[in-house]
Amino acid sequence: MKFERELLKGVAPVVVLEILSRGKMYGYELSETLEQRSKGILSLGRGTLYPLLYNLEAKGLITAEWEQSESKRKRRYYSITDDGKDQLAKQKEQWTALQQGVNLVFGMGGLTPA
Amino acid sequence: MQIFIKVLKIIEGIVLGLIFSFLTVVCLDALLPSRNPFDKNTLNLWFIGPIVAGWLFFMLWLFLRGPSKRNIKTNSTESLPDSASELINAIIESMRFRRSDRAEVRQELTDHFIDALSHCRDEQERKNKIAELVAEFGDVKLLGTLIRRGKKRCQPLWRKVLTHTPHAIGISILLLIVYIGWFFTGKPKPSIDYLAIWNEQIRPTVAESDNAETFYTKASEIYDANTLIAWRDKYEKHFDDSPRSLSKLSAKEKETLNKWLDSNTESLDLIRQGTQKPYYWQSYATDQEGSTELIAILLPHLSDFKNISELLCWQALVDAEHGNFQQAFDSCITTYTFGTHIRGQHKTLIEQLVSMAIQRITNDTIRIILDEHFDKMDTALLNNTKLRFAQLVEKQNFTIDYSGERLFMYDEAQRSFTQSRFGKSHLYLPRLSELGGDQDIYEQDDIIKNTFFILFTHPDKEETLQTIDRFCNTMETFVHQTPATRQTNEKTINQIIEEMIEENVLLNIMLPALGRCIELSFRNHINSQSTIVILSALQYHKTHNEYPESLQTLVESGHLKTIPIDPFSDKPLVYRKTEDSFVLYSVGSNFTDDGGASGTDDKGKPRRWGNHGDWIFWPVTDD
Repeated sequence: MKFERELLKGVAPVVVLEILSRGKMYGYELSETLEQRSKGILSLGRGTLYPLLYNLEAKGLITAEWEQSESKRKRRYYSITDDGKDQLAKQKEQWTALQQGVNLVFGMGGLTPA
Repeated sequence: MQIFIKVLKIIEGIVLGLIFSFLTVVCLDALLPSRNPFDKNTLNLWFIGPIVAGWLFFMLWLFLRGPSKRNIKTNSTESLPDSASELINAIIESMRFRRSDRAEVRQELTDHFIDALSHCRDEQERKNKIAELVAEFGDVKLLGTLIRRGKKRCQPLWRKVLTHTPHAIGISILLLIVYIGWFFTGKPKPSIDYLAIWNEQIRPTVAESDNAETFYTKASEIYDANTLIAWRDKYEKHFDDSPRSLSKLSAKEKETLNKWLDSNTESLDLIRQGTQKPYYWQSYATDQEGSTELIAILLPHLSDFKNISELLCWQALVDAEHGNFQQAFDSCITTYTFGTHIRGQHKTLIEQLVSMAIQRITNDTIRIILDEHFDKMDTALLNNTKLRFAQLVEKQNFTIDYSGERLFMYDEAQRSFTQSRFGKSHLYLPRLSELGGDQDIYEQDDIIKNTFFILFTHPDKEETLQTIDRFCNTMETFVHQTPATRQTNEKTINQIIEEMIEENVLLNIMLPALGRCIELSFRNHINSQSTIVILSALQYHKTHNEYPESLQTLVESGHLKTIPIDPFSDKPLVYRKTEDSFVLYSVGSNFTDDGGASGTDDKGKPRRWGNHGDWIFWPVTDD
């Protein structure tokens, strides 16, 4: 499914942080995991993935280290930092609230007015 | 954005180039014969040198660093198909960032492709996957830019500072070059004719027939200085510019003096006729036709006037030796009047100083005549001379007049600053250099400091004009304060002036030792007043056959109007009756009554107006 760019721009950092919160990964692995976990609905273009990772790194939400992988090749592994975890928690909360609001507007259930 | 980066890189090259050229200039500068920053050679070196050297260094720097667009293909992408390698190369190329970061990104992207292709089972699937990945990466230039931004943000603070410092320095130097360019352009545009204003000021509102100018000019034109020159050359060791007792002249010297007098009879007569006129003024003119520069004002007759005054005094001494006392005193009165005329109103400082010098030698001459011939004179002559002389002294304003100097400084300010541009005027360096002449206002060790001072912090025209006004107003206050009053203040006049103008190179060059001028004016006044006192005391002696006990006695007997106050003590002139005469003196510039000890200089040598001891007016002393 193709999403509007602005829509994806808002959600991309959260989903990357969410995936990295479960373990460190390198770029390709991250993009594949995202696709699998979202069952193909969410897919970051490669042109978006790496600038996004560098920006998150610059903000101190993730860190990167060159490490030897299982295939004996050196890869750049990204892992979430404590700041990243705090940020993820805040953004998840906001996304949940947003999701409920959107569902209500669309009449798709969720919270009912008192 | 790319243009901006290019500009920054150029600046970076210029910065390095400037450092290189700065070192070159410092080395060359040390070898230059002149260290004046306004010297033509130095200017070229400082201004054009850095720009040329900077650009040359920049070209060299580009060559050594190599173009950023070269194809960066390393071993890490060789295992990938060409289309993938080209894509990665294109991204890396458009990144334009540090080499290590580019290598890192290249490795990461290569890994990405290798991982993506590792699951492909055949060649076709591999091709399709590559095409898919290439499409997913999208716009290469945009991606390169986004990656560069991300990487830049990842830099630690110290690296960011390090990266931006040369840029900041480069921009500063670029602005400096623009500023220097601005500073070295523009010219002053004088708009006010201060020469006309000054000529208006010096002319009294009287009829042209009251002006002694034609007599004095003619006297100067026909004045024969040759005998004097020969005399001075020959007897330089024995005579300065002040007439002395004829008894100290040898027969040969007297013969020469008489020749000098004979060759100038007509000139002296013209001066005598001129002093019968109430005023003297002569419009100032410059050495170039049409020019109104006050600094170029010519005073062609001033030197002759000084010499003719000396000659008149010598004539008085010769007349006195021949027993013609009335004629002798007439010559003295003529000389003093001539001095008053030269001073005029609102004249140049130099004319005022020459006037003071003329009046000083007149006072000396009168005293020599009195000292040598007093016993042969009658009371009526003494009284008449005293009254005539006192009238001249009373009429004269002895205070220094700075109104002409004010105009002079105004005029120089309009010629030494460029026309105000962008709301700011600046010093016009060629003019400053002309004014400075041989004066080494830039100490060798301070050449860089002074250059930067002149470029960045020197007061502009408006500030300079304000300082001129403040300075002149202050001086107009000081001229009325006696040296004795002033010396109680913490600072001397010269210290106050220095503080006022210390940051203004132009005013520093222009202003002479004005504190000294004020002292001279007070000295001239008390010197003239003391001559009246001496004439009064001698007249008293003629009547009473003894000298008065005090100055008060002279006043009470009607020989003296008032007791003169010594401006160097703010007390009456010191008078003391001695066994066979009297002493009369001022405490002098050390403000201390040394009991009538003769003046000496700092080295202890006798000096009539020395910084130490007292200034003796009577008896006549040798110094």
